[in-house]
Amino acid sequence: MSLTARIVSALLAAVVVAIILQLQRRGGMGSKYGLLWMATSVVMVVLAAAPDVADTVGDWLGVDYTPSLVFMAALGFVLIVLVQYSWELNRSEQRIQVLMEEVALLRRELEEQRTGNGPADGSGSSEQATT
Amino acid sequence: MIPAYNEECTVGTVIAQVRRACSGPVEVVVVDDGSTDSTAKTAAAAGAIVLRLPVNLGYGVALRLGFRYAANRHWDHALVLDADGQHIASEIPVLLAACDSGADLVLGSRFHPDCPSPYQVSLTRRMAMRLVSRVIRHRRGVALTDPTSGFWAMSRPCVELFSQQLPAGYLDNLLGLSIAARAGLAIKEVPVTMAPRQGGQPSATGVALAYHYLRATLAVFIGGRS
Repeated sequence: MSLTARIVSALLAAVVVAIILQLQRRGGMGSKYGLLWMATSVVMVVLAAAPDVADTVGDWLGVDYTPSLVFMAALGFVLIVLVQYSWELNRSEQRIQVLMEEVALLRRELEEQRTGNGPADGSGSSEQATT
Repeated sequence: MIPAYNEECTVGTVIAQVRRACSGPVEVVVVDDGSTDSTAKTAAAAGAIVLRLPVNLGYGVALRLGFRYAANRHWDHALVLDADGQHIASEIPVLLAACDSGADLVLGSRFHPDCPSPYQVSLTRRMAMRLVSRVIRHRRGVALTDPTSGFWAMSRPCVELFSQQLPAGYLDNLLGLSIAARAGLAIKEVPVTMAPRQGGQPSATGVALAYHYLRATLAVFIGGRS
């Protein structure tokens, strides 16, 4: 690997580490994903500092062209993370929906209690929700 | 039960028509799916019970909220119709009569062979509905001419089933249908006529509609999850 390529990849890894650390420090990520991204940035730093590591691993696994191994690993990792996000997003969406239904039912109950029982005129619900 | 999203022009009329069409004790519930217009106010002024979702979450969530309310209040029957005036309220007794004669879920079909003048729909919708009908017949053994009808009535067991099991997706009644069929409830179709839309905007057209149906079909296939 040429010196320039090494410098570029080292810089890239440094930037990623800086971003992750900064986010982590401000509490913008939480520990749930924090650990995952810390580990990722460590791997990036290792690969940038010592590209031979990739070659060694490639030799173990019998891969002739090491860069393809790195690409495959990176792609696989990204794919898994994305699928996990889809799942997570879907779950939060459903929880939000249940919550909203609960809010609507509770609001109705509150109106009923305010106006006495029976079909209330519902004018108490005319304020706009800000979202 | 009337799910409504930005239907201030028509919801009042629909409520009045429903009241006129029903004899006996009836609760008219408008599920306002986060409308940004005065749908909730208009509905309340027309004497309906309004359940307001704080943000727009889609037809499926509005329906499930309505069913939960209906189940909490122990309704004997629940009837769903659109807020845009497309469903003719004077046909409500027809659906309820079918319910009383033993069906758990009654769909008002626009394409029933007994319809005097079949309702015209766009090519996308027609193709999609044919596909969906086929999937439902194949998977659930129920032959339907109009599985996407939004005009339906049901008995208490069906209300309770829906209030617990309707997945909280935005998908329409198809999933409900699928769930009801799987639970072994009796499903029936009756012919209805459909008025032209009185106001408001159709919920989806073209590619969005095709995607919507594709998703619904997949959901029916995998067994009623959103």
